[in-house]
Amino acid sequence: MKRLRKAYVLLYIFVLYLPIAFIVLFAFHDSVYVSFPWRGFTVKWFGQLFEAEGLIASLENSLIVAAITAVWTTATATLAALATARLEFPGKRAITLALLLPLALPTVVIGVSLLTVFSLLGVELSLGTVTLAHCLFCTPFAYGVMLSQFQGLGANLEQASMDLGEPPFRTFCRVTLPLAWPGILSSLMLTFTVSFDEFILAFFLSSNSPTLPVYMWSQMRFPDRLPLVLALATLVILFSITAVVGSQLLRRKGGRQATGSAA
Amino acid sequence: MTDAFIDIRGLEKRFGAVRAVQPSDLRIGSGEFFSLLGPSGCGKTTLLRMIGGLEHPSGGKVFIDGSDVTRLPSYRRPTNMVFQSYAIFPHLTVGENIAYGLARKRLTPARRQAEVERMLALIRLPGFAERRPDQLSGGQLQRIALARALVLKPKVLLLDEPLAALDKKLRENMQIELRRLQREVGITFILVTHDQEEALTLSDRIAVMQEGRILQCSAPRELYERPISRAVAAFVGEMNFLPGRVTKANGTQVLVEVAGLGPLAVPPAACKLDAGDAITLALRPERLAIQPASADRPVFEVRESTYFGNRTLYQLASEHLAEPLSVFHANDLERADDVFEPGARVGLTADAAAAVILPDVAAGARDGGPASAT
Repeated sequence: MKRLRKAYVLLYIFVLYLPIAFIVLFAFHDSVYVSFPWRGFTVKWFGQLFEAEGLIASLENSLIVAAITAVWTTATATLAALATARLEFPGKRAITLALLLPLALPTVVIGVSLLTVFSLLGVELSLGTVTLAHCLFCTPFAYGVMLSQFQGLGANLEQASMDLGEPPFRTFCRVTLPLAWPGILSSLMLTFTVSFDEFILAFFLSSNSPTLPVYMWSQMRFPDRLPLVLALATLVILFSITAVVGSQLLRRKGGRQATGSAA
Repeated sequence: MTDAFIDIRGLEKRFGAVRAVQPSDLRIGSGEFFSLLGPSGCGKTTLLRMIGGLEHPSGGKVFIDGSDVTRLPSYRRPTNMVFQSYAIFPHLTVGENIAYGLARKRLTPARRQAEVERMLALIRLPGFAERRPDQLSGGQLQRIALARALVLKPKVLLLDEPLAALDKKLRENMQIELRRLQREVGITFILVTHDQEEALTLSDRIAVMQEGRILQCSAPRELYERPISRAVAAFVGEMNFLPGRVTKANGTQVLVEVAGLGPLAVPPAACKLDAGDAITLALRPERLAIQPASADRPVFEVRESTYFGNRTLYQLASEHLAEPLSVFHANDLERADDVFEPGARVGLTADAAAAVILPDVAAGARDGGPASAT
């Protein structure tokens, strides 16, 4: 029985990561065709990435959108999480729900509705509209991370700070921020990654300034560029894994610190 | 109390329909070591937090040193709190923790350093300034929390069950330390505790609270020896309650007939009594003495004995009493006949001068309504 369970877990992980492994594998394949037999190892696709037209521009677009999204959603979600974790006010439950609800909405629905709103308002599609959409989409992630961070920290230390004579804002700077730092970093990384990887909203709203995933999608039309896309995907995977693992490590560190202060 | 340094008038706190603190009055003198004593959930911590500005009162006022602080937030009040959880900042060193509140005071770095050193000496942790809080024990964190509050020279230091998390031996040491600190700095201390022994040993005065009310506010000796209600008598120390009837009453003495113990001449009660009134007599277990059984004394039967080392607690039953009496008996190592086995028949004498007359519950209890504690 135990052996069977083990085998199931291994199979599960194998199936989960096999496609990703194939992407990485064929990114180093010395052939335009993604098929066996293996024709040899190469890194030339990675070299060609730098010459591909529009790629660098779309990477820049993605980095700009992701950076703005990460900073904005983390900042606002930090304040929102602090308010809902520390204060009692009417409508608190409704606001908490409203902040988390976009998680449950299909991205296509968000995309279509935003497209409708933007065209109704006469807003031209640009990187700005993508950024707005990503801020909406990433808020629940940032809010969830920050809420658990503040709930873990508890209000005790902030009360102690105020009791020692520091007004709320100074308390925020001297106690809340330094202690919530792991959560903030974790939220920045998570929202950056989510925005960087996001395709559907960017596809709907980016018009003629594509983000990296949209660019990759557009390249799929040309069969000879597939290895290029695979090489790019490999880099993106590497980057995403690093960011997610990093954010998880920071979160765990933050959790430890929080429990340490309660002792 | 002529000098009301802290004056609490009709202070109350409601959480929805729950009245955590009933409208209460309290006057605390300058330099006093004052304790709020009561079981958990009696409202003592809420009352303390309202004095410190960490909880908004639903009604009433708080005056400290003559000024109304009711509407002031905690960071504007001349009070500092030592939290039950210590609330030491984990991201700062011991020295930075102690100096935390000094940031507002615009001291030179050298002055600030000197203040920290002085506090570390006071709490007997010299050389600890560079340590991180996670390297320290509970007792050490406790003392740092004290130093962090005392360095600001507050007019009032509030202590919320500061010793509850420490083990017995350490707690006793810290109690002595607290008393010493309070004498040295001369600041008014308000201590919240559920430990009656702690309250009795440390305080100048104690307010006993139950269900959001202050039942009695007295010096420890008076609280222990002259409780004004059954609730206070039962909460502070061990107490026997005996039903009785007044046979004669005058200004200096009351004769009481107690079933099983016979007539006793006890000190007068706070309320007026007439012959024939039903009362409850409260008698401490250590004020009863076991005697050899004899014909001219009421006879009791030993039900149970609990050995405490220096003394033994006996449960004595009598046909006249609904519940057995608790009696403390000092253990005498010299005498082998000093041990009474369950089933033994013994006599009993009571130190009537130490007995307290409590108004009978049936005759109209006085332990209701907001107690004025002045």
